[in-house]
Amino acid sequence: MTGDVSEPHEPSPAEQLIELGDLTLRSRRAGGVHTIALSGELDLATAGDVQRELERAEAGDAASIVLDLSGLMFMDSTGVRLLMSAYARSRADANRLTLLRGGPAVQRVLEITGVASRLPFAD
Amino acid sequence: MPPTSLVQFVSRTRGAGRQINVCTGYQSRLKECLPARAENIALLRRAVVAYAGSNGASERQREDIALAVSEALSNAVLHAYVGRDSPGDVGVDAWIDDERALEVVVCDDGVGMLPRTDSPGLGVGLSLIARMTEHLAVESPDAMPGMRLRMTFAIG
Repeated sequence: MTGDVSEPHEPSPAEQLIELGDLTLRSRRAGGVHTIALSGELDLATAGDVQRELERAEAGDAASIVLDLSGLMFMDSTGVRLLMSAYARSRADANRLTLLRGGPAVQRVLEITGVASRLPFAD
Repeated sequence: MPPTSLVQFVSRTRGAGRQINVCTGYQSRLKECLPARAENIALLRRAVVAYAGSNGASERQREDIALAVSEALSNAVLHAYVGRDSPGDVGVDAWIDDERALEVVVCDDGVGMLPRTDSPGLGVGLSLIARMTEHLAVESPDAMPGMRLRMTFAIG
């Protein structure tokens, strides 16, 4: 989880906090970087909203889009498909996308499905 | 290994206005049925994971179970009631078998297993489920509509 999620504060105008049932999505534009931080559980119920927010960031002019999975505790194949399609779009779009690693269960799903080494994780 | 003391896992999850209380003692049975909508997947997934935990499943085993059950439920939501105006139900039934393994059945009374060319979901989901389970059986009985997916997990 990113530090600012644990401190209560109102999102600034350049930041949106979206509560989606079992998933929290924090979308923040700062300078040339658009960060979308996910926490909780990503499945069929919540993937559509993540997809929409991601496409909204992609339609903007941020030089870098960071999808922060560090607060994500659960993901199934819905999330795997979401990440892989985001990566495919990024490859055709100056490789703007970077991912920050999720919790152990999340990384394990990506390893099992054989995509972990292909996705653009930072570090 | 069966728990040596009574472990109670309590899971209260809310979704779509429903609440499932899973407060089980050692070895009782979980049976729950909800409309096959995406927002009900987490509810049922967490109920099965809580049940597994109350019967001695480790954290890693609960992760496997969460993933497999989520895939099975997603298949039902995506495929079972295609072409219908409103979805039917998806059910989970979980119990401990004679070999002390966890049995989980996910079932629906939808269209059954049809060849699909328009969606990649079902294939990926089933192969992932197979990786997580000791045993996997797909049943689409001719006499009844729908599909039953029976998963066996080693726990404890």
